[in-house]
Amino acid sequence: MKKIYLPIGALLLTASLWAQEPQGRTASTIVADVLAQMPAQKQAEYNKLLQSLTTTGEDGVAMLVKMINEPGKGNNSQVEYALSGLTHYVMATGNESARLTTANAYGKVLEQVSNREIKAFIIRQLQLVGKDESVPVLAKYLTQDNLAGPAARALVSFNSTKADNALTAALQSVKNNVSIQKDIIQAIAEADATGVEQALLDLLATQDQNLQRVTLYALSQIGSVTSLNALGALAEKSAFTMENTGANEAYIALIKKLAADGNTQAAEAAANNLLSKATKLGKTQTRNAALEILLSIQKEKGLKLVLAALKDASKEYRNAALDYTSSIVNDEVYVTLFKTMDKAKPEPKTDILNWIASQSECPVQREAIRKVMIKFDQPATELIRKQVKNNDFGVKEAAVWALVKLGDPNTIGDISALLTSSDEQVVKLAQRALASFKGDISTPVVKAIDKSKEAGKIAGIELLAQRKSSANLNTVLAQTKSDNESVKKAAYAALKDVVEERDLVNMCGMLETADASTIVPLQQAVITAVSGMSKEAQVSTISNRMLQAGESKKHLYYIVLAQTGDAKALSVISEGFAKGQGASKDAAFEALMSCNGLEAADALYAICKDSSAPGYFDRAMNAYIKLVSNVQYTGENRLIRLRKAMEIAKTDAQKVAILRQIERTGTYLGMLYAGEFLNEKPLQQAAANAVMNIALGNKSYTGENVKTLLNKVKEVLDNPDAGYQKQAIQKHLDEMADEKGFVSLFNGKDLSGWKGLVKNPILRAKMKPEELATEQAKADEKARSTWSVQDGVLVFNGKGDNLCTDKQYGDFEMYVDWMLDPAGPEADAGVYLRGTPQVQIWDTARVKVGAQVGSGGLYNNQKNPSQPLKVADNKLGEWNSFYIKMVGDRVTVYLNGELVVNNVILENFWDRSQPIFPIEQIELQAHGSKVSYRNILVKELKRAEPFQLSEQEKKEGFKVLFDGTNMHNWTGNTVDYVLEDGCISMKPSTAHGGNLYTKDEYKDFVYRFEFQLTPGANNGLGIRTPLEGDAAYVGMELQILDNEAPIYKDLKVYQYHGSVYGIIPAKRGFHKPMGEWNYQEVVAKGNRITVTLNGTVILDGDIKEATKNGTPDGKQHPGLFNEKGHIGFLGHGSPVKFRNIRVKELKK
Amino acid sequence: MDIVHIATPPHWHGIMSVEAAKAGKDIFCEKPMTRTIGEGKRVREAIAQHGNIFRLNTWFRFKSQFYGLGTPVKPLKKLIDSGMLGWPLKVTISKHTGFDWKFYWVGKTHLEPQPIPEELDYDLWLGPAPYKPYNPHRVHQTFRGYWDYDGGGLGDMGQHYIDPVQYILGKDHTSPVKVEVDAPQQHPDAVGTWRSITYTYEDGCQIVLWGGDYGNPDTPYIAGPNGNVYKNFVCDIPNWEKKLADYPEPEPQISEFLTSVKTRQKFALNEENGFRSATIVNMGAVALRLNRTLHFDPVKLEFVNDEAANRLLDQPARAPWNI
Repeated sequence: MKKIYLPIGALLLTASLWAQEPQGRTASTIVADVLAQMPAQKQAEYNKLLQSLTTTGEDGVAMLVKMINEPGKGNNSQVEYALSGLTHYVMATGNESARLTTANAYGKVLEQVSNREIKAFIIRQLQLVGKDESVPVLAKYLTQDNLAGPAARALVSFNSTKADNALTAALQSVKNNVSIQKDIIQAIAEADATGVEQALLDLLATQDQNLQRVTLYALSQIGSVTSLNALGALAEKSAFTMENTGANEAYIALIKKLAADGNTQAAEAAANNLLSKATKLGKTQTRNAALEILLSIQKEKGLKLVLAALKDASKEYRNAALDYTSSIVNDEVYVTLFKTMDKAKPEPKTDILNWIASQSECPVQREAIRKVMIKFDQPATELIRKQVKNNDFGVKEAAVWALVKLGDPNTIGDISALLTSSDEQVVKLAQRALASFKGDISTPVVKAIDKSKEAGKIAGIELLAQRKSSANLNTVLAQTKSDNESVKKAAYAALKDVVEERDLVNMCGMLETADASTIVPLQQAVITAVSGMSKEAQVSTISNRMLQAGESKKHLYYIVLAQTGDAKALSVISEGFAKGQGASKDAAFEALMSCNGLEAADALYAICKDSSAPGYFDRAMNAYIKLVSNVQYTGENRLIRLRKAMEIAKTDAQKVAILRQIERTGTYLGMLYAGEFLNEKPLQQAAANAVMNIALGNKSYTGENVKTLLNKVKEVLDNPDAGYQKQAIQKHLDEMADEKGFVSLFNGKDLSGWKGLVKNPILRAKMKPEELATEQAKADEKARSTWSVQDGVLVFNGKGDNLCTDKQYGDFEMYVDWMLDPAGPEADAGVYLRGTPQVQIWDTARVKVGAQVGSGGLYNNQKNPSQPLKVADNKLGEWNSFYIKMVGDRVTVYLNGELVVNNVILENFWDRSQPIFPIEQIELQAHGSKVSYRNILVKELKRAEPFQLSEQEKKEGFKVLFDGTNMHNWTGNTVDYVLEDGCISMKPSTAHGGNLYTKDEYKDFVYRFEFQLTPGANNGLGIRTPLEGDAAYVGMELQILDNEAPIYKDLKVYQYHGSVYGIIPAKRGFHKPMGEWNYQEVVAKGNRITVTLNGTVILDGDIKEATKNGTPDGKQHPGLFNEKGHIGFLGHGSPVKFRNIRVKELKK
Repeated sequence: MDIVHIATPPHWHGIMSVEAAKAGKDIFCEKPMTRTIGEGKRVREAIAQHGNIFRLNTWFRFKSQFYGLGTPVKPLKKLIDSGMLGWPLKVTISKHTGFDWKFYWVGKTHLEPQPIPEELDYDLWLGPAPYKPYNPHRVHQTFRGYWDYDGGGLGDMGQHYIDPVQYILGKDHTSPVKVEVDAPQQHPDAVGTWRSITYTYEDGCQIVLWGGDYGNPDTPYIAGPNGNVYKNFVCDIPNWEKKLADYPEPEPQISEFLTSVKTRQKFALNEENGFRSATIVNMGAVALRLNRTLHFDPVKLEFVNDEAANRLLDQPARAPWNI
């Protein structure tokens, strides 16, 4: 693949540049092209498409609009995307000429369409994209019944004098049409158009409430002093109350507007008048509005209005007045209000204090208030502090929060003093306030604790705990000796927050002498004390302490050990459980129950199996189930461990819980396992649900056994939703792919389906039938004595040979569970595929042989990866699950749900010059140590027939290089070029990269192959090229390209498909449609290169001739005249597929 | 009647809030506060003028587990206020951090006109929204899929997910200055899906939204120069719990609506900070519709150098409904 440098104009997004459209791309082509790609998926694409659309000018817009169907007559989605995209795009800054063209185009085309909805759509485009040039065309619609509204709203958006004038002019022409009048008047209001005040005033006499409403609204937005009387009269008529025409609100808005305009005299008079009338009538919201306007005019001079308001009975009014004061504050205002607060009754006092608090949220005001002085020696904050002592709780509360927001640390003591109150409500207030106070609250709190009653002591202790005030540990300790039970309890609970490492010994001492009720908080305190140490230090410190504490007390520390999460600690606890009795055993158990992780799960499992401790079984089992069901473990591993639980579960409830968790694993094996319980009545529903939900959630779980299970589930389901569920199951069965699915190779009883091992596939093929039969019989005898079935599990005793399937398998998927016996010795096993080693199984502790890399790797590979991608083995002695897939010569392995081998070639161990055998037996390896197997299932996969040469090609001496079953003849990037569905499939990745080459070199040849492209694909056929370097230059490249992709439209002629890259151009236009297979033949004979695509010769040239005046691309091609080299597929950026590859060497 | 609970589709929220304010009522409004930024400004003005108590119906800034994040918001506020994470901060709101931007609410780009059912006053339902032929998908619970009435999943969950972030970042009185989108082109009528929306503040703080499955699953919820916070309040600053204890609890806000109504003190989530978080949602909607990066002036409350965006900020209403 050659990197292609594309002309800049096609890609850059400079808004003001019109893209270079190549000659011949008509407007209709561009429009069609854009439509086909609507909606654009990415911004870059979007910009590019719309930029190209702008080049079509008015024509493009007209074409698109013509395509809009009337409502109900067709789908307009694509056109709407295109037009609205255009509207938004040209409106971006810097696109003015495109915008103008587009707006004019919309204007013209608006006249040409007749359907209301389509017109409305275009008008809405103009609303977004039009400016003064569009005013005339919109103005015409201002007098039309069902389009006046959209047209008027569009004009509002223009925000221009010309648009405003169109609106006001139209008002005259629609005198008797109430509906249109409303649209236009509302638009006039929103546009702030001028010059029609009198006309609007005249309209106020209308009977139509909506028209009056809109007119009043308009007058409130554009009116002047002239309208004051009329609106005032209407407001008064409404008794300053909201009604359908909004007269009161309009009047208020007009007064506010006049004030803002600078007509302060008129506005002030009107507002005063309004205030007094509304007050008389008790209309609070109007009083508020009037007061707000007056304050905005009078500013600080209006303060007396505020003070008067503060004497009002309405809390709403008082607080509104304070709100408005926020805009006129200065030091004097603050002083006045503080003084007022000092003398006010409780309600207004509270209001002002709340206001001060809200003022203090702004840092500037906070600073100002802190500095305000009432008298030369009295800061304003002192007045607040006074109110902290007020008997009225509302006042007290407001004062406290004001102090919190002001944040002056000197005031902390005022609040902490409240802790000594005998009123619990006051104590709680103090506690919350102190919790939010920035700074050191601990010292004042400690003082208060001494003097407080129960509630205050508890609050104080909790505050010290919240601030983790370890400096004051002694205060807390003192309270642990309190006579008051609640205080004592709070103090013990607080210890964990105030102790440090230095207090460890003290805490341990207290723990060891504690009575029952204080054990838990002291244990928490010990945990805190050690928490700063490393895990190892924690374990050793505590272990030492346990020794010192002695047999009768050491159990107190189990819970401390547990939270370290350390494996050694865990075994101490397990041992403690095993050896202990009574309280000590209980303590160990509780500690175990608090642990997480697999070690804890194993310990709990051990307790379950311990028949001497039946009392703990239930809790241990439940905890075990919970721990192993954690979704951080793969479904496969969860299943393995849940099966262990099922084997020893005692109650139906436990078994049901296990089945529920198995359902969540979603695994195929989990589904089969749950199916085993469909006949046990108490477990039936849980089993049925598990099978059903796993099956229905995984369409890939197909086959006879699945069908049987689901049919059984249908029979037994019994719950209110069963009807729907059975329907869903039936639907699933009907839609299930018709495959045989997985077949069990091991019946759990005997060795049916298995035989012994005779030598290897190559040697067996050479043996005569009788000889083979004799050897086989001997091998079978040996197998029967060394492989057996115990409790449904297939067991190898460690001496003997591989166990082999009777049948042979080609492409397949396989499940096999395995377990190595810890006794070993040197535990090792494996699975042979196609009779060939192997998928490795070994004890990862055997570092000497490199086993630390884990099981699952293709151990015997030499050229291809032989190690697994990660270690996914379970502990030695635990079960593991393999999922193995083999297609062609490629193997994929999952171990316990983790990918360990990813589509890797399995080399032929028996003869490395051959690819792997296409079909052979599967074997379980014998490697001198005991191993168990279960769940052995195989699903055979359909295989594409390997490619075969035609008779003619056989005669001519063609050799197959790729037949769809293996990539044996190829080398290089076999990670991104993979065998898939009988093809060599190029799967681009950023991780790998590189080309794929034939292993052999060729001089003169005929090379035939088939290829399938994807849109924009770019690959290449390298010929006579070495294995390294850029084949186009160190060898020769015959381009492979999707010629028609828009991004390639401006290439040089020798860059297109089939060309000798940079040297000789090929003919274009002979590809099959995208997605179909093309067939191509390349003949390289000396300097003559001939390329035939789908039967047509597209290139027939001489490379010497072509370069007699230098290379056409002006570059060096040092390898152009190589005599021989590899043939390769070049490139790693686009998905492409190849198949049916063969070559015939030409002799000179 | 003293309190109005506004539970209509969003295109009505602004008008009703303003009318209720003018009528002297206290207001309990569903989210999003308003469909457009322009309406939000008017609501704020009306309430300032008339002194009403206003609250939005989202509550995560002061109570409850915060969706899938695995913690309530208060301790996050405390941690950020302590300064331990450094500044500026980037908060990522995505499925991976516990917030699913589900895209149920996508509109249909092609709607067949249908007869209006008898029981529906379609004209009144539309209210200020432009007239378009009736189809049940426009109303009946799926209205969230249409720009005329709402903003899809962003409009539905936006304030719930974003308001607490605004709170913990201390941005209740300002707005982002830039919004960038990565999305498929939006239809002019039907709301679609999106991949990411990124808001940037003047001081460099960012709020990043990732829709659907988009984005890196290992991303922290809060990323700061000195530390990160992940789902379930996992913080990678050593000993942070002990260090944090020195700092005060965040100041409580009034979280009982009736307390606000009685004391006339602003509710925790009111017309000021609610307007700001709704503005974040709404500027995202505008950026999606225009499919380009937009710049915003948090003081003037308008888009900078983008007339088209400003024409979507204040959208004229159909008469006789005005605000």
